[in-house]
Amino acid sequence: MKKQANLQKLPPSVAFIWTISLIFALAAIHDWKEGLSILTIALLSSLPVIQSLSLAKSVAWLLLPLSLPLFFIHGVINPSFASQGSIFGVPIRPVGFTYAAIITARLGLIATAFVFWRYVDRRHALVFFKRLGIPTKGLVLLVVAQSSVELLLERARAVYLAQQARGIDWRGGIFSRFTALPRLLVPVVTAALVEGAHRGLIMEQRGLGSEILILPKRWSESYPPLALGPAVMAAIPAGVAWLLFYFYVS
Amino acid sequence: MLVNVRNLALRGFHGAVETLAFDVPAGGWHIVVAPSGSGKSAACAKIVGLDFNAPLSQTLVSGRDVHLLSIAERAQTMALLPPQATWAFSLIGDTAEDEIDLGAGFMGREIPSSKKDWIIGSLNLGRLLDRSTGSLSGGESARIALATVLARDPQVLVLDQALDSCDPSNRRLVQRILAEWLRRSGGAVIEFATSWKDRDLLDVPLCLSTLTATGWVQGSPDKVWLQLGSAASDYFEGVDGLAARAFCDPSHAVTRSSAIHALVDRHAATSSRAVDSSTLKCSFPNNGLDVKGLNFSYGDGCFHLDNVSFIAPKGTITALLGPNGSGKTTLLRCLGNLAGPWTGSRTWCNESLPNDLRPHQIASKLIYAFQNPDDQIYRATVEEELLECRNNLRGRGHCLSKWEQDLLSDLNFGGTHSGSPFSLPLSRRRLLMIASSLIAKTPVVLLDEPTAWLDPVQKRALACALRRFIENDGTVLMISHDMDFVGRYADRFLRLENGKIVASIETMWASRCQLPDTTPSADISERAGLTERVWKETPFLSMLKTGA
Repeated sequence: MKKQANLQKLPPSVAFIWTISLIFALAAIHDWKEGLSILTIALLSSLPVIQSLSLAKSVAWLLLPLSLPLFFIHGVINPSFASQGSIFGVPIRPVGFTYAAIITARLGLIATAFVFWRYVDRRHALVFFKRLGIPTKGLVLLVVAQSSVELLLERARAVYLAQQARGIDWRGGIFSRFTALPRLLVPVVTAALVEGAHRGLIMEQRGLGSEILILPKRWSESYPPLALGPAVMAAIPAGVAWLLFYFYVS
Repeated sequence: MLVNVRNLALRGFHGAVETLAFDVPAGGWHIVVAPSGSGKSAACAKIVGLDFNAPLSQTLVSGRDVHLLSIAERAQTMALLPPQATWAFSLIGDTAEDEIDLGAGFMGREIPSSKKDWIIGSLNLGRLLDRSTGSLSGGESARIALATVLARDPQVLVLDQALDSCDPSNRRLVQRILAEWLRRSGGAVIEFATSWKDRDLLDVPLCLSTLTATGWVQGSPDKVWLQLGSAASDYFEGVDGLAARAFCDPSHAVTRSSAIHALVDRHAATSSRAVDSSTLKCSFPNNGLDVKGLNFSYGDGCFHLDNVSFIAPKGTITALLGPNGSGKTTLLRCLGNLAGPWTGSRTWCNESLPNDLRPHQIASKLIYAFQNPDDQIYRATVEEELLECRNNLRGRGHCLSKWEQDLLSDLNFGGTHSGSPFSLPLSRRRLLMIASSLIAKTPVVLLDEPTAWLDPVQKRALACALRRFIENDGTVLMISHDMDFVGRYADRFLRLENGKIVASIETMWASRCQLPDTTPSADISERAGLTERVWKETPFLSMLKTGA
């Protein structure tokens, strides 16, 4: 908990450099080896900054439901990639697997950039974006997108408890967990939609969209200065990508 | 007139009412009382200018139509407090103080420090300022949401059942602050509610619009009281309803203010003196749910339950009372093994229920209906949802017994319901989850504020269902801020403050006497007499006050 509290104080400028760096790296990926190398370097270079494996774990959880269908669709089903053999009658398409790996690496870099913002205090992020001159609407949307992930997780925890209170066993075997999944997903998704609609109305009612937003002074007063070390670490993926790109082109 | 509302539509007893109109003067408070499911939330959205599909509906503030205002102008003119206070939070700030500052920040200004101090001091928010908005209880969230609105300083404040989650003392506090705000700012309050409860404490011009079986009745509370006649108790419920009756009845000797203050003095249970829980006695014949020495602390150590011991006797309704944030929900979660680890013991009829049981195993003995029904509903039809808990705990194929069918009929869920539960109004969804928990036929049902957002008719239906449940050997432990409801129907009262049981009272008269009437037009004199018995013959509130 203590470590998490410290991590919340990461300067938004570091997260911003990190995001730019990963976007640059994203553009430099040409094959799956490059992609996976840069993703690995990105995750490794985050370790001294984050000081835990939590970022890598979050990225893995985000990537898993996205990449598995990709490998299945392009590596097995997609007929535009040539089949080179089969296992128990199921066609294997190596080019499709390569293609899925490249997309997975790119998704991984996007997910890493997104997850990194979780370690930034969103109030400081708001001050940072406001200083960059981003309009109020976009500003609020950016920060709300960040906090709504936490809100969804909070809602999922509440539903998880509420369904257990009704006699659902979540810690049973895989089958019981699988059959119990709709009991978690349906209320979470429904509540997210309903709550989103209500919150949207209330936010408009509070004046969102009026292009005027005054942030509390104490947010600026507690704004952390740029930390040089983390900023350098954040730039590493871009540097590696640039080197790979340089050698690839040459 | 500061506000003119025209062509407002609400669903009534005989179809939609399309042409409701009322005016609110500067400094006035207008309450629209209508039953659950009549479209109050939609009407609120129309009044504040957020429903653009209602071309006939019109709200004029100082002669200007709010639908034609810009976003910034509208936000400065109208403010809306939703029934779930957390919806009013911006997701941008982190702490309660951030939300208050952003209330003015969205208007493009900073809140003056003197005004901020007044809001924080008057709403008693000092200790909440550094708390994360996600960690606040329902009543605390409601007060913070109100503070964000007051920081904006709008001309008109619209409340959509926003005070239902406040405890009685906080509800009165909020009403006093709003009355002061009305006097200071010359604004107006439009409130949508299911009853006219507690509102005669206000020293501001009050006006009432009430939907009755024959149409709308409007005017001052006294005028409306006289027009409502025998149907009045459906709207003037509770201790203050009794005061209103005393005031309106010319044969009654007491004056309005003295009646109100005398009753409110009895209503306020302000004792903070803890009692030794282990010495609490119970005169009921068997023990039922027996909790001893329950200790629990959250990870951050900022709140804990301290040596909580009590008995919820079998076949009774036990009401868990206490101010917002006193640990009532946490206690129920511990009992359902949904929070922990905790120390202490818990037995049901002398059968030990170990602390390490999984929540679904505990659910077969103690089922817990959450306050927010949307956390639990997931089935496609109402009928499937009703049987969900029962099927989870007892397996499929069990037919409903006669009393279970009667219980569902009490709650208006008898027969076949093929509609989607998500299409029901909030109050019906709450009753659906409570019905689902009751017919699961577990020995104990834990209810978290079951009467919040229910109208008086639904509360009577709920009382009938609970009575039927305990007459069939069920036991109910319920959190409630509805003193009128628990005063009438509960057998035993526990008061929790700062994580400690500070009082435990039992009464033999209330729920034993009779099933409540379910028809809105039932004889008022009978119920009025019953209400008077609560406050005159039963000393439980005064006992709570002394911690006896």
